[in-house]
Order: sequence, then C-alpha cells, then structure tokens
Amino acid sequence: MSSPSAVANAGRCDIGQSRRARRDFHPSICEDDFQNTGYNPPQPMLKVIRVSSVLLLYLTATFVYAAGKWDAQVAELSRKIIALNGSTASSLEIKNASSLPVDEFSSIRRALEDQLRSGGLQIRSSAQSSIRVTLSENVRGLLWVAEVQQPGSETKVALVSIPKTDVGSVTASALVLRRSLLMADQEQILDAATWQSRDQRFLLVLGPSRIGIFRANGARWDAVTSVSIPHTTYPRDLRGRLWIGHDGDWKAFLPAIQCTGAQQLQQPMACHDSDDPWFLTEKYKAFYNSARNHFSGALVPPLARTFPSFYTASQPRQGNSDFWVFSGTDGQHMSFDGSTTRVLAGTRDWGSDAVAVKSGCGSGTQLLVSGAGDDSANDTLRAYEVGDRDVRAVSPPLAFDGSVTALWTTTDGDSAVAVIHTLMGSYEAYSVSVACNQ
Amino acid sequence: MRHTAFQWLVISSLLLAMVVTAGARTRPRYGGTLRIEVSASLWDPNGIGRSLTTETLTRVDEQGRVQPWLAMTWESQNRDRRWLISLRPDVKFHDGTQLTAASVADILGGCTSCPWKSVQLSGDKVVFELDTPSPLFPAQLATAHFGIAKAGVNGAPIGTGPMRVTQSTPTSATLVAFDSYWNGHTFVDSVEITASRKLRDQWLDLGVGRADIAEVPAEQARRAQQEHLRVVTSRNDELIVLVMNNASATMQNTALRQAVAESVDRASLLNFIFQRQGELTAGLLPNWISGYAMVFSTAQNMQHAKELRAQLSQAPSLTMTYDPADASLQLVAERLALSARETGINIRTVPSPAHWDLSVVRVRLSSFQPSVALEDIVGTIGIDHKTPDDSTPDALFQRERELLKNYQLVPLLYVPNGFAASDRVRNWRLNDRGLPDFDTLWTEVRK
Repeated sequence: MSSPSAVANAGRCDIGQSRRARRDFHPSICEDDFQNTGYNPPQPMLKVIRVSSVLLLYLTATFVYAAGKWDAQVAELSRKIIALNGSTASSLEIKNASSLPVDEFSSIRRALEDQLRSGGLQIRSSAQSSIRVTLSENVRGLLWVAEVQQPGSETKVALVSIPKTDVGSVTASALVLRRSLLMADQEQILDAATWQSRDQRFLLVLGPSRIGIFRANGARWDAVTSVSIPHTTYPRDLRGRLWIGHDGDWKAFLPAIQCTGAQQLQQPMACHDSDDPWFLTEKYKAFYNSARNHFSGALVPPLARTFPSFYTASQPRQGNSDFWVFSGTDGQHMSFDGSTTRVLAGTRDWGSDAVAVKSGCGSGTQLLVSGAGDDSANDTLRAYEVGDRDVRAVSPPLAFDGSVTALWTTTDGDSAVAVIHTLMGSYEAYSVSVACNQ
Repeated sequence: MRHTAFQWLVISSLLLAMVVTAGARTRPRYGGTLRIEVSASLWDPNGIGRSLTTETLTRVDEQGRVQPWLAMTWESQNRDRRWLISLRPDVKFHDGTQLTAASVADILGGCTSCPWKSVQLSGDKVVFELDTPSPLFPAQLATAHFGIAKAGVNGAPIGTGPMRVTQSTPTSATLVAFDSYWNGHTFVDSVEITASRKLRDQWLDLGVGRADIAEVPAEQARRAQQEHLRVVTSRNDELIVLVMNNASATMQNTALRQAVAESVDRASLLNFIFQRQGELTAGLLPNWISGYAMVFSTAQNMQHAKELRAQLSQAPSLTMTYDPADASLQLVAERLALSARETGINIRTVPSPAHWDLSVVRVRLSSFQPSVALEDIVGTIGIDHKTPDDSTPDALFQRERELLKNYQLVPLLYVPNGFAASDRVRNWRLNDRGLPDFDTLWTEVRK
C-alpha cells in the first residue's frame, strides 16, 4: 500500500473522463448531475469564448510549466557544453530521441538555446564547430547527450542523466457502465470494500501481505491502520476476498489464511491459518484450493449436486436462490437451477470471472463478466442477463486499461469490486455498478 | 537445394494450417505439459532449461536496479571489498536439501575467474572477499554465470528454481514443477525440452503439434510472420561484434584495424541478412541501456578506409572465423570480407576453431545494469575486463569509449531473439531475459 492515490465517496459517477481526471475526480461534480438538472440552455458564442480562453490559458501554462520543470537539467547541460566548447561560434542541432512529448521538447529546446546564448555561446548555422544535442533515454530515465565537434579535434561528449519519472501516457477508455475508482496502488490489490460507520466512510484494502483501513477525508482516503499478513508461499494468480459482515465485523480470506477485524476499529485485527470456506453470498460459502487459483467445487451449505472446481459462482436471478452460474476451471460456464446443470451458450467471449450485481432494472440482477483478451490486453466488463440455456448482453462493454485480476460482489450485492492490473503495472480497484438509465 | 525448399514448403503449409485463435481472457489454469525445442545445448547458461532450474542470489530489474532473490539482504564492508549476503529462509534445492550459506559457499567457492578471491561463512551469512572495491557486486551476482546449482546426472542442474529435472539425456530433459518452490507453483506442470534441434525441424514439429514452443531467430522473424506464427520477440539484446585478435601479429597495426572497421557496411548486414530485425550499433551497449549509443558512428567510411589501407606497406591477407553452427554469422563474415576487399584487404572466412585474425561473434546481454553488462560483454569476448563502475554516466561512457578506441572491438548490430508458440500456450510473452515467461504462461490442457 505504498503511497496510494485514492478517491473517496465511491459509487457516484465516472463517465467519459481520462484516467488522470478520474484520479482528481471530485465526487460532487458529475456529468450525470448536470444532465439531470434543469439549467438554462448554454449560449453557444459565450461557450466558444470561454473555451478559447481556457485553451489559451492552458497552452500558456503548459509552456511555462514545461520550461520550468527542466530548468536545472537545462542549466547543467548548458554549463557542460560551454565548458567543452567555450564561446566558439558553433552550429546547434537539438533532437528528441526520447519519449518526451513534442511540446515539452520544444520548450526545452528554447530554454537550452537561451541558456547557451546567455552563457556567451554564439550560435551560427554556418560555423565550423558544431554542437549536437540528443534528448535520449535509457533504462534508468532520460539521458541528454551533447556532442561538441571542433575542427581537428576528437568529439567531446557531455551527459546529463535524469532519473525516470512516472509520466506514462494514458489513453481514455470508452466508458459505458458506471465505475468509480476506489484506490490505486503500485502494490497488488486483491480486493477492496467500503462501509459507512455513523457519518464516516471507510475503505478496506486487501493486499498479499497487508490489509489497510482508510478513512474518507473529502476526496482522499487517509490511512487509519493496517495489519501484516503472515504468509510463506502463495500460489500464482493470487486471489483474496473481503467480506463486510452485517454483524459489524469484516473478514479477509486468502489461500489458507483468514483475517478478521471489527468495523468499529477498536478491536485488534488478527490473521491466522485457516481452511474455512470463503463467502460467496450472505448464505453460501465455498472451499478454496489454497495451492491453486480456484474454488474446489464444494459449497457450504451443499447444493443438490457436487460441482467441479470453479473460479466464480454467483446467483444472477433475484428471488431465485436456487439458480447458480459457475465459471468452471475447464473454461465452461454452467447454470444450475437446483436440479439441472446446463452449459450456457453465448459465453464464448467470457473470461473467468462472473459475478451477480443487483441493479433493480431489467430482471433486477445482472451478471458482470470479464471479457476477451490475454493478460497483456485491455480487459472489459459487461452485463448479461442469464436465461435457462443462454445469455444475453444487456450493456456495452466497459473497458479498462489493463486486465481484470479480481471481481467480487459486495456484501449487499448491489455493486462489484473490480481490480485492474494496468498496463503500466499498477493496480486499481473500482466499484462497478449497473446503471438503469444507460 | 530442392529438397530444402520442399521441406520449407511443407513447414509453411503446416504452420498456415494452424489456426491461431485469440482466446477469451480467462484465469490461468494449472496443469499441462509444454514441449519446447531449442537449437542450443540443453543446459546453455542463457537457455530455458537453465533458467527454469537455477536461480541467482540477486536479480536486476528492467530499470537496472538490484532486487533480492535467493539473497534477501546484503551489506558491504571494507569499502566494498567485502560483501555479506543473507539468504532467503526456507528455500530448498530440488534434492530436498536446504539452501544454506554453506551450500552457496560450496557452489560459488569453486568458481575460477570470478570477481571474488574467496567465499566464506560468517554465521548464516555468505561472505565474499574481493580484490578490488566493487559497489556493483550485488548486480554482478545476478548474472547467469553465478547461478546456484549443484551438478546432477548428465550435467543437469540441481537448483532451487521453479522446475526440477526428472529425466535428462544429452539432448533432452523432462522438468516438472517443484512443489516446494519458495515462489509458488508454476501454472504448467511439466516441460519437455529437446535441445540441439535444427530450426527447420523445430518449425516442422510446431506445425504438426509435436512442439509447443520453437525458436525464431531475428533473421527468420519475417518468415515467421508470413507464416502466421505466434511470435514474440525480445528487445534487441544480442550483440554481433567483430573482434580483432590482439595476439595476431598482423592485427597489431592500428591503421589496419581501423581500415577494416571503417569498411564495415552495417546497414547491408541488417537489411539483407537480418531482414531489418534489430538495430545498427557502433557501441557495445544498446541505446536502450546506455542512452548515448548515437555518439558512436555506424556509418561506413570507405574513402577513409582506403586511405588507411594505402598507408600499409603490403596487402594484408587475414583470416576471419565464425561459429560453424551459426549460418547467419557465416553470412555476416562473408559480407564483411567483401567490404574489406573493396579497400584492398583480403579476408578469408573459415569456421572456427582455426587460427584467426578476426572473428565475428554473438554475445547475449547478461544484465540490465549498464556497467555490469558492459564488463560482461568484454569478459565473454575474452578481453581484460574491469570492476564495473557507473558512479556517473560519464564513467560508463568513458569506459566504453576506451574499449572501442583501438578498434579491437567493432560492434555491428543488436538483434532480438524470438520464440513462436502453438495456440495452446496462453499468456504468451517473454520475460525480461528474453525467454518464455513461465511466471505467467499456462497451457490449454489436452482433453
């Protein structure tokens, strides 16, 4: 849980925003709120002026920011070049061979030219001496390379190294279902859960080695406490499950380990070796194979028949607690109505994780299912209605910038928590719900 | 010739018949056996078999930072001349014995030409005594040369890695997942490796379903794409370099070495032999590691090469060697000889071993730590290497420049390595060492 970026007040809205915008997302500002509120129609001309002004301000600010951001490095390189070249008139060529964006490169180029001139260097395109600057990159970060070539002498080289900063580019995903970011972290997140206690909102985050409790503070989550999870060897594709009980306790399940604590936080949290079954729903639990990444197939209380091992089991029909959908480790998705087991048709694009979420629309409960693609690809979630023999998509896919590594229904069943392992290597936990008005 | 063409036609047809499906994203499934065919020897230090069975004390990540592996912590004394290593607890060798400081000292203590003069015990710590201060010693321990393994039957390693050897012949081995592996059971239950297998046969076996993973060298990457193989390639991590023999009396002449170096047409090597897979280099480190490779010019300078040749009193006749098992290196050698001939320098190309004035060789990058990688390259080539030092970017650059300035080493290209997999193999990707990533890949189990 190192330096997590987090967003409190989850479950509001997150539609059409970039990932950066989502991280800075303020819960009180939602596109939906504007759409549903009866304001006067906007004036087109005013809008153009407003947008132009904002754009101009943004561009100016970007330039000033970008130039200022690299001041120290520009000054260092400039000083080194002048030390090698002196004030000899030289041609100057600057090129970008790194992942720096074009606008930042432009501002660095201008700043470097200014620094070199103010250091006494005469820049002339026809000069015999030449200075070639390459903004390059290596495994550790940026490397700026200056080659100073004077007639009759060996090329001299000046280097300025800049450690890697986290400036990865992100792309906006198409958004269809409602989701809100709960927590982002460089360390693995296995599950996350929220609860309300009096007027305070809490977030519980389960990682492989630690459980953290956070308290909402405006748009942030402040760390309250945490507990280490003693463990030796975990299986690969590690999974873990949080369960917020209605009795005021919470439980965390990991392979062969169970941790418990109280929502009031006064009681100590504790972890111990355990082969107890994991909660699937309020009523049902299932035994987890602690050496693998799936449930063994045995449920508590037992169903009318036994099942082979599965990744997820859910009850996607409101009011029908006999109806189950199992995502088997053999790749098949089966329904079970209390007496008959059927392989569901139309599940070719389904991944391994399928959980039921109550929405109050359609049949009242839908199945949220992870989508197509290997781990290296972007993943999706999509809502389905489940028939006796087949399934029907009832929402467009909700795209994520990474793969879904965990998907669990919350205790109350009206949303799910999806953990995404992003292509940048971090983990993001989202609350995902099915919105009726989509 | 016709026979060869026919064989390739058969392979192409079989491979085209393979339906490569983009399966749904599912959780990795445990189980199954993967059959892998490689051209190198079975326990090649950089090969799949070795990487699955043997681990090192440390690892270097893709940002060049040292990470704990079998070693949990380390500290230096005596100004980096003594290193104390604490081991990860509860790690077992495949024979069931515990990994201890004594076993590590026993394995590494017998190493000759290693960067330490002795390996001793101090309580539960391993103590390395070095001749010279080495702040990058933990990064050096991450290279494959310093894998922790005992010798087993037929040279099979008894290591601590995720798979243990259950059967081994000189050209094949069966590995099964090691249940007591400290870092978790692999998804795949077992791996069958067939070594010293010709590339043509590997692709044929892949086409008919007798193999799941086969090699795709850089020069065959285009052909593999045309045949719709599921190819994944590494970064450009293999250096092809021309080495001038320091012991050869003829090659003592700097002008001759420079003339040969400047006659080199790297672009034609890349375009025609390696099918544009890779990058030109005149530096020993690839640009993605050093960041400054553009400083070393890759341009051919035939005019200057001829001027240098003109300074020589007599027309030299040189011998260039190459690995006889590497057809691409033979082509590289012949192309280099052709360019040199244009300057009036005659070069005869012969397979090694033989008396040699020049040799064209491949060297695999051993580390993401730039300085360690650089010294390992020169050490592998057989040139006196120094203690790695990257205290400043300039120190690394100056060291590389020093290595190149007398034209004993002429870097030519950096090329990638690749592998192709059948559609049973899921989460198909390579790890940072350019090998199939068994941490994540899994296989559809045959029903």
